[in-house]
Amino acid sequence: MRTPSTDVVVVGAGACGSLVAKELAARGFAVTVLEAGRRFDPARDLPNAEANAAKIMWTEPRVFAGRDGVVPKMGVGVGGGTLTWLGVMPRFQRSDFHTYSAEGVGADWPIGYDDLRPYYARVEREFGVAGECGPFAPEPYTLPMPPHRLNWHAQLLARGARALGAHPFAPPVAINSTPYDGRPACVYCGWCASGCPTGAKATATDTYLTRAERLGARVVSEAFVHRITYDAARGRVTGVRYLDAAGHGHELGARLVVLAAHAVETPRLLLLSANPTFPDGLANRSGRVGKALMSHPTWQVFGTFDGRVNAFKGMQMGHVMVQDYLASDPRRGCARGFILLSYMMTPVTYANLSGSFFGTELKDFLYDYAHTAAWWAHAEGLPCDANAVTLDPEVKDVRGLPVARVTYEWTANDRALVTAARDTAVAMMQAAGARKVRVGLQYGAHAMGTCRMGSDPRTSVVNAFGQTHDIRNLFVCDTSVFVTSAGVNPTLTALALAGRSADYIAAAAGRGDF
Amino acid sequence: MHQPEATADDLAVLAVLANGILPADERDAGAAAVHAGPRLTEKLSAGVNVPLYRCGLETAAALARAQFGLAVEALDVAQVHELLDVLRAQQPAFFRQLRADVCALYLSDPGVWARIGFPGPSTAQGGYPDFDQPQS
Repeated sequence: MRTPSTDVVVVGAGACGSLVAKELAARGFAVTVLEAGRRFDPARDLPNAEANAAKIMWTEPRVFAGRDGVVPKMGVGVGGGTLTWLGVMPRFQRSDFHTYSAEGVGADWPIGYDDLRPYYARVEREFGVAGECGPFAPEPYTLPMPPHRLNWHAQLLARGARALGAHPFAPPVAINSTPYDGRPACVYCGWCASGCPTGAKATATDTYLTRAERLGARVVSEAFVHRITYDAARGRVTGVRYLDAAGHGHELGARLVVLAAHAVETPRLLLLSANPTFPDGLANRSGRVGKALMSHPTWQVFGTFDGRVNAFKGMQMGHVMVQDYLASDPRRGCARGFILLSYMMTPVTYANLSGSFFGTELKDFLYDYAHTAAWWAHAEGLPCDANAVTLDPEVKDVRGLPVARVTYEWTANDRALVTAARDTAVAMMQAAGARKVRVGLQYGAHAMGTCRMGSDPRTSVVNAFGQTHDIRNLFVCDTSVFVTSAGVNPTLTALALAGRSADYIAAAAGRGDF
Repeated sequence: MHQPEATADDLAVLAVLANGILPADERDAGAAAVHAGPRLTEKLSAGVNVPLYRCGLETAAALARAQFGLAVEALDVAQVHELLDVLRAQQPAFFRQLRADVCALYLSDPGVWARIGFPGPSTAQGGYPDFDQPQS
């Protein structure tokens, strides 16, 4: 039987894969998006419930190793991480793209801010972003929707920040402050991470993917891609193999394969796709697939006030941001910078991010819920080759495939920087009038790196357009390509990079490259 | 793989440990208010996190015998607190899971929501138009 085929297979229906699907479908490509998770109707399937995490968060086994066992949060399903994300969309700083040449830490990107500027603006418009660029933006820019008003929680936090001389502002957030793009304004129900049942929070599903499907792209849910097929004679990938929900195997041919499965599953798939030409993993002549996994070292800092805060009223994250400490400051004794963001959670997550205390102390903390505010103190994590995604030699998933083994240890710089972030948040909380301040959990927010972009095929996996150095018709379009992590939330930059890749793919295809 | 059913002993130990995580006091019965012991036992019987829980329960039993010469279910409140302190250090993965599971049960209960001042689901009621106003 002849293998079905398409022009482009996109692996992963998250933000980046959806953007690429829409851009290429708009230019006449036949596009198929394969997504491991289910498709949800948020209004029906994602009512306000923390139990939704079992539906929209990645829950398949992974092995977390290394001294710090970092477990970045990841989504699954049509919409990917945007089903459970909190929507904060700041641009990177100019300095984020050349940390090595400027400061001797991290590594330099093969591109700079100016390469991404038009893509940033396009994503902000297409995805729908509200907010201010803030006083420390890489350049002044305006967003398509006005900023959200600060909720009471953010007003308290901002008071403490200003007392310390900082300049809090309402940051870019992909949650509607007014009706936009056919979606309603936010009602500030406070359930963002459990899935937004109103559609006010932008997701890949109701933005790029909807447009992609209107343009003819096909989206297949519950399709777990486990192998990229490769023709050694032509030196090209030829498509993918995947398993459906019933475990039945399928093969789909393609002229082009785009990986957008995020910074753990993308390298896992490349490693699972080893073949005689690439015995250490597909497109891995450099040996760098899976290397230099990055996360953002983050402390949760809580402050309890005499009066009610009711921080559950509002967007969970990003009513207010502080970027005053994002630039490097030699006085801190470490490189790079950090941000502070308002972040209040629903109760179960509040307990989980509080730390490991128990007994009466924990019960008191839970009973303080309505009186408690929280800063998310979030720092840049530097790349380190020892932090990596590999295939676990023992643990298999339900399909019998090796699971990802995530090995992580914070660098000394990460520890010093996030300590400064934590201490700043504590000081601001005290300045805001909190009667009790609790330092909660330290954890790793976001996953990046593992298929670094670069100009040198010996030290990077993809070029400046996400095209693998080793195989011309294989691209990576997600946070895997990040060279450094910057101090801010990564999704906007990942989308901007994906948009740039899509333009490159279309131009290269026009030249007959594929 | 077949998992053996959790036993009455498991239930008794889990109930004690759960109420060590969230104790009874004048506000409510703690973890027992949401029947954490029986519900954790049901999850164990259903095969959820069995190796982790089995290892943790065995360690708890051994520690209780070694430190206090008693079964876990015979410990007093202070002894349970001490036991959990040791479990947190010696079996951190089990302790984290137990704490998370107990908190998830407790904080998914509408009665607890009312007591801690959380209104629960809110989207269908139109969210919170007063989100930017001083709260009281």
